[in-house]
Amino acid sequence: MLEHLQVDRPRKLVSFWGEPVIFHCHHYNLFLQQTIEDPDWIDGISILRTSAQEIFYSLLHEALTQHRTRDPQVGFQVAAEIFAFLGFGRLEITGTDQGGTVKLYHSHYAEGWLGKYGEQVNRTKPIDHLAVGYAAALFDAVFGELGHYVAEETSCIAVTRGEHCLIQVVPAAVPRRLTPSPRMGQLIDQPQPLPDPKTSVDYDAVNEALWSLPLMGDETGQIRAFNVLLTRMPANFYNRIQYRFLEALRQVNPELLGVGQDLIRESGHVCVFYTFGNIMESVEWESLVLPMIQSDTDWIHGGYAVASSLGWGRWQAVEVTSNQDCRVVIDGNYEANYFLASHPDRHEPACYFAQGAVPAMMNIVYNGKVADKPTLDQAFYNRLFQRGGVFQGSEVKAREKGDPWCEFTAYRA
Amino acid sequence: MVAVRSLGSVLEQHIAGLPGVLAVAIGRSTDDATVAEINYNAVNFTNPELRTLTAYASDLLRANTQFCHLFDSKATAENLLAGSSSLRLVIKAFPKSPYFVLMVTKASTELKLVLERLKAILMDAQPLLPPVQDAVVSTAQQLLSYARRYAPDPNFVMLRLSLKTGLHRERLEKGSLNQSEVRILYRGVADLLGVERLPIAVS
Repeated sequence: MLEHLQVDRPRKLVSFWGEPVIFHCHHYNLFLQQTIEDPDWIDGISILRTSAQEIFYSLLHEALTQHRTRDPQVGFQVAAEIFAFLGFGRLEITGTDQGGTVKLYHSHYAEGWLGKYGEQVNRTKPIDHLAVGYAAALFDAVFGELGHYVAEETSCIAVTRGEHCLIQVVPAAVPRRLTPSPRMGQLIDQPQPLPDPKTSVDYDAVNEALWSLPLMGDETGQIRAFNVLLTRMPANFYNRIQYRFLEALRQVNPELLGVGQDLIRESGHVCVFYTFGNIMESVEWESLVLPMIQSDTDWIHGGYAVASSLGWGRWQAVEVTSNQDCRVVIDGNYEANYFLASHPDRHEPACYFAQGAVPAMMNIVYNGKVADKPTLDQAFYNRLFQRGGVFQGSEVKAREKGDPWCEFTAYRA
Repeated sequence: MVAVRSLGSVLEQHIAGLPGVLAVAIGRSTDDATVAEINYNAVNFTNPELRTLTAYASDLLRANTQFCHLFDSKATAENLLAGSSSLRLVIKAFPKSPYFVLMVTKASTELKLVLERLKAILMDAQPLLPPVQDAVVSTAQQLLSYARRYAPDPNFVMLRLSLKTGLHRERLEKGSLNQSEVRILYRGVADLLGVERLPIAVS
């Protein structure tokens, strides 16, 4: 499957069967999903499932078209390989055009949840909304068109703590009109000339080294790397669920729109803390980035060199003042690419994930003192906030409002 | 000139010279408040964390009382020991009072010495304890405090509960909700924790 990844080096984007794909870890995935499924006064679970069905349909349709097959068994096999390659777990798919059954082993969401919260919280509802959408999408792609099937998770290991999850797929009573993925979205025409950052970190060298790592699902269909469970997620799944979620809040209870935005920003914080924190403590960092680091501000640059290797777009720190503030440019952020393509009439800054991630990078380096290799657990994360002096951020330029790039600042509150 | 005694000075007096003591506090189980504290380990253990520990100690005391009452409805809780292989937490309740003293020490600290100091603190601090009626908290505040202690991601629990309940964050933080909203909040906290019932009564 690695051969189907396409790297757009100038834009620092990665695509897989025409869909932009990006790395995120289970801490981020679980935090974002919980944010969306929590309020039962909007149908968050439907947002998650439907978005997965739409985005994965686009990816699977392209993959099956390229495979030039109409054999359902081959289609099932390709769908299962893709699911595992992306790090979501192993699928066993059986069925016909009348529907079928999908067994999910080593579910990223369910096992991630059990590992993170399983000793603390009892879960009573299934968690695999993405897999449910994927199951419907794969039957759509193999037997019909987008929106022709619906799926339901009837057993989930996050609830049962059993061996596998079970998803049932049936033809929709009435085919639903769903919205396909905008694919790569509205890309930047060409990279903007940015000021040379004052750093000894070679962004391009870090990019090339990380792009060459064979990060893909193992025999369990999970990507275990940097002490987290990674997924190579279609970026448009994240985009679609976060913007649909915010739109639902705006329509049903606009007073709580800000709370939803804050939680999505915090998901960026969670991502940087766990994923980047663990990357910065990894042997890969020690061998690849650490030799380039000459000052504490280089840790920030190293972080953004990694960020721009994850398929997120061209992230670059342009100014970093030690322990005080920083200015970060994102030229072609994955959020903006989607937002501009899907909401051309909206002109407000909408890179919520990046709004949280930029101050988080300062927090993990200067407040978390990641260079000292602390244990990155929940207790440490809580302390970061309790001790005060937390970095805050804002999006000061946005492609969504006509600026040539998106720009963020982080500063002490 | 007579020095004015305070709860803080009583704590200081009785833990002086005790090897391995990390923190000591007086808490109140009716509202999980910390009314006096001394933290000797502020580098690794912040004062907010010590206050959180006092709230956990309240929970431990309540659970212990319930446990004792299963066997003898008139039983009163004695010393309560908790901790890890490296740390020890000792809690002792003031008789017929919601107040208690907790002490965190290294596990190597001699337990007998700790118990002697706690006994002395109880005797000297008893007359200085503030009136309990000052400690009235609303059910909403109790629910929020419980959620902060036991829900995952405690830093975001107010945001999560605001979304779950549909109640604005500022109103939640003030804790002044009507009965119907308190029931919604109860459900939200229980749901966050994945439990049917919480140890907080809602009318």
